[in-house]
Amino acid sequence: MIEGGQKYARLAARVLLEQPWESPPADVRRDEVVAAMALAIAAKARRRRIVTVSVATLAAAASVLVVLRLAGGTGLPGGTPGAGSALVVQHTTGTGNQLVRAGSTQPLQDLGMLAVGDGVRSGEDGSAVLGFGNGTRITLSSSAHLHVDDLGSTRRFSLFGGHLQAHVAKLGQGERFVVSTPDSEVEVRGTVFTVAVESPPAWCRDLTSGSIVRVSEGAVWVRSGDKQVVLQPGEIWATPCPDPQVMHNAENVERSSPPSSPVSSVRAGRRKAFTPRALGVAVPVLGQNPSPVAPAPAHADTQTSPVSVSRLAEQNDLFSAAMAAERQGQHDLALRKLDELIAHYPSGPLNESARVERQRILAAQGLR
Amino acid sequence: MTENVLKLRLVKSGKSQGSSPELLDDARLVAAVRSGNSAMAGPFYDRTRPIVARTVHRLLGASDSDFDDLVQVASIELLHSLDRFRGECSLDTWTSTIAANVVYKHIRRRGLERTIFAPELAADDVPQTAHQRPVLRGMVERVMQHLGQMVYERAWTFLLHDVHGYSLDEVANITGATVAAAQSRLVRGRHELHERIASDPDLAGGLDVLEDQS
Repeated sequence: MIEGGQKYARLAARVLLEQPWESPPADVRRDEVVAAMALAIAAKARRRRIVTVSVATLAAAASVLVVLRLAGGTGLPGGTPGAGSALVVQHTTGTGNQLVRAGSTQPLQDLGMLAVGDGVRSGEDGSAVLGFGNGTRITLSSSAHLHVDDLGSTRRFSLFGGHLQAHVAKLGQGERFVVSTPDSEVEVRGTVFTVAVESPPAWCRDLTSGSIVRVSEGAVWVRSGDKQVVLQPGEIWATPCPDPQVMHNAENVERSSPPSSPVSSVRAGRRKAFTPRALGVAVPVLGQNPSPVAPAPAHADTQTSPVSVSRLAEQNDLFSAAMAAERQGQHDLALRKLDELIAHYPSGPLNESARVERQRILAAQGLR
Repeated sequence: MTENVLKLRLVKSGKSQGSSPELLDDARLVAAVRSGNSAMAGPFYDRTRPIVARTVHRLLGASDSDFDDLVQVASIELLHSLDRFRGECSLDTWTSTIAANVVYKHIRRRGLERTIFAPELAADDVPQTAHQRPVLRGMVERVMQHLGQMVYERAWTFLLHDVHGYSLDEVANITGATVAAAQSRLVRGRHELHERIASDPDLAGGLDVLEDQS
């Protein structure tokens, strides 16, 4: 109802309302409009069918995923992995990739399932990527030999040769991911790391093969013998090179250490905590011994082979001190340590790395 | 007697559903179109076309060159809107609202370069005397001029509600506004139109005479 104060609006509406109207124009386009409407009805029905099918497909896929997830969580016993813990050959490259199963060898097929007891050998020019449903991936480089030990709550593998890179997705409670090598065991949780089993360096005559662990992300526990170290991102651990001189003094050492603490060593009459191989850079395999070592000579040597462990430890300390100083922003101190290492051990195994780091620091200083 | 009782029961049962044959037909027609039966395009068009045409014709104005196009657009839009039709109003009301919305958007898009509302008097259905016909035509045109100078949304809200009888809910749907906004626009539109006509002595005098005669 229009208020009295708006009289003219009411009268205007009345004028417009009471006016006679012409009839709408005749329908001259009926067939055209009806055809368009028929097309619109059909298109709408088609869209509805597509949406229905899509929703049904998504629902079915979601149901399958839920079932697979539930089945995978149970971890079927007897070496038969559930769907969630199934290890699949995601893809292979090159030639010569083989699956060793029940004593027989067969070509490694893409999308093939691996079970406990299976072995995978990558060819000389081959590689393979193995994957779990939760996103964990294992990349085998050429000439690698991996054995699947367990696919239950603990996923355990043995690397007998070659090189692998593992990208481990976050594991659930009680789940473990372990890679064993002939001389060590690597356990990770939510980590990117590499493990390699390689020939030892020439100066390490008593070692037939050695393991190298490099950590890209997260943290890794490396156990070797009765020792355990924790590697942080960027750190490297390598199999120690046994030395007869060291073994001779084995009774003088402390054999055990807390599970998560760095390995301890007694050297030159003083106790010092260190992290074997945890140098923060990719270095050659060193003869760092996880066992305590004999006292080092007080003087620098000329690096006649083989290098004694005590002198290697000094080199390690110098290099570690340089890297620690660099990380703390003490560039001059880092350079002095590196120069000392380069001057005192011109043919030492860390000499080349020290020169590289020295150049890197100098270049960075130039930029600064 | 038994036959009469049986007939009464049948009639009573039909009335209890509260649906006239026309409504039942509309419901079936809408259901058929919704189900994707393209053969229902013709019957649906024949059923709704008069409402669409009348709405477009009145809101767009007579002899507008866009009339046929807008009728087609409104008919297609009616199909797309059927999923929202819940039967809470008649199919005629729904159709009229959808058609009005199409016209509203169309006129707004083309920028008001033409009159928003230009009705023409019918040749046959005229006021009582030949003298009154040009007078009424003149008043309608003057009112249209004032409406054309008003804020677009206010003028349309006034026309849709006070002239064409759409409810505030329907006006809100047509103009894409909230009911509160439609209510506000209506009040302001009435006030603005009143002020404009009050300041137009010729039109105000003509409307006063018209009111006195009634």
